[in-house]
Amino acid sequence: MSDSSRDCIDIRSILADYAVGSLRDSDRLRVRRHVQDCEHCAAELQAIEATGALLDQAVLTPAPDQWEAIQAGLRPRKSTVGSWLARHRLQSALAATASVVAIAAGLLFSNRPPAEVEAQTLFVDHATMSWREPFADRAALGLAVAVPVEKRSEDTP
Amino acid sequence: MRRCVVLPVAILCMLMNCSSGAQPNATDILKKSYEAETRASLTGRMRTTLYTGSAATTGDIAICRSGRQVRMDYLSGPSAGMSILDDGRSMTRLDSRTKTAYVSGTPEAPEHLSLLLANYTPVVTGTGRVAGRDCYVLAIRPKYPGNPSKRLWIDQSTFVALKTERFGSDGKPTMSTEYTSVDYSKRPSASLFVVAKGWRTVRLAASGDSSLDAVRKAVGFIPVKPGYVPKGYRFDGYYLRENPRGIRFAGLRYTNGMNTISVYEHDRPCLGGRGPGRGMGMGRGQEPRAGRCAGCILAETPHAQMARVFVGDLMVIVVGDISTAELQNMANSFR
Repeated sequence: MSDSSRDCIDIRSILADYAVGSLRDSDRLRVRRHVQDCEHCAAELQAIEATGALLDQAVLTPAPDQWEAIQAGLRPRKSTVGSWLARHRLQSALAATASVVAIAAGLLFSNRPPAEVEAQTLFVDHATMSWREPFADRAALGLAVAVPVEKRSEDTP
Repeated sequence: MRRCVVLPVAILCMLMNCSSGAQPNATDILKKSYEAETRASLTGRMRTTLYTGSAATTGDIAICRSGRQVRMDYLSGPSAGMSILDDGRSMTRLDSRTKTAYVSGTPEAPEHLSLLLANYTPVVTGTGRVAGRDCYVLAIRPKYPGNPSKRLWIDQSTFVALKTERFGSDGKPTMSTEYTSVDYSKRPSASLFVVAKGWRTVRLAASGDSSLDAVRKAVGFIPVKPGYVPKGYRFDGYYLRENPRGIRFAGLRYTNGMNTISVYEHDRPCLGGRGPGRGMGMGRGQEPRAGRCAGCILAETPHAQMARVFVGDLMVIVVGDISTAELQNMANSFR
């Protein structure tokens, strides 16, 4: 296996992450440099980005007659070759729609809450861990639950 | 003849000692106050304050206590509408907006008072009045610098701590709470200490008495202990912790009797994962970039600050109110 094809395999494994902007700086730069010189990987990236754009459109603009199509698909039909094909086409469309919804839902729910919220939950838990110390100020610890966390470094979560 | 002289003198000395109000023993007062925390019954109002730099956040609270059971209703301030129930084993946070009760276990080690006395020196600094009650004022000073300290106003009759002031590891005030009124004559109704019907109860997997085995099974890895622990702190135990989104951590607790250092460990490959319930947002699934500080202070609240390090696949977060240098030393000792 040549070095370039090994590079391509390596790069392609992270192309999707690059497309959604979730790569660290050094990897992002590596992909950018590679696709400048490799038309195959550039084409692959274009395809991924195009698919992403299609998914965005599909989520934002569902077909207006989608429900009618589903209802039509649920009606019993004569078992002809034509209807069989039509039904399977509809099934494919439904499966595709379900996939789009599932992917959109996955992307939606995988969005992590703001880091401050997560830091806050650990501070709240720390207050719970401190709760039974002798003479713990539990009233103030309870109030601390609602006081926002203050960020300190650039490496903040 | 000699006996005739010595006996009256001894009696006289005893009487003089009593009448002059001999300084009470601070350790005894502290022990009595610790016992009073588990048997006092009262109702009252408190005002609590958190200090953040030059600003302060306050809240008024209605409190009922019956032995180890405590209920606090936050009437004003940022926690207004929240209530806390404490049954001596677990702490329940009641969110009135969503009618949800979050229950989590609270670690406890009964020998903590002796640990406190090993690491702190209690001193009676005078007397004062809180909510119309005569109090002893005690200062609890750390034997090792870089640790928080406290002042307590302890009721001379009931030994209930009616006012507390906590000072951070830097000596600045971090929080204080004082009773504005107290009534020992009323015994609160038992119904006040349970979650009302119709509320949703969320039991967090945060337990108060986990074993290493239970924690290891729940989180899927073996928790790591730090290579360095500040002087006076003792390992208290492994605890399974869980945040409201269901993310589980291995929790390690260190205490010096009056201050807790919490260590949270999380398997990092999950952090980069996509999908519901994966990733806790602290690491964003990325390696620390060159130039970023490991073990640096990430965030702080009035009562604690937070440092983070990565150890292979493990992300470790240390939270506590100790000096910044000590917190960083402890965090970096995981690497």
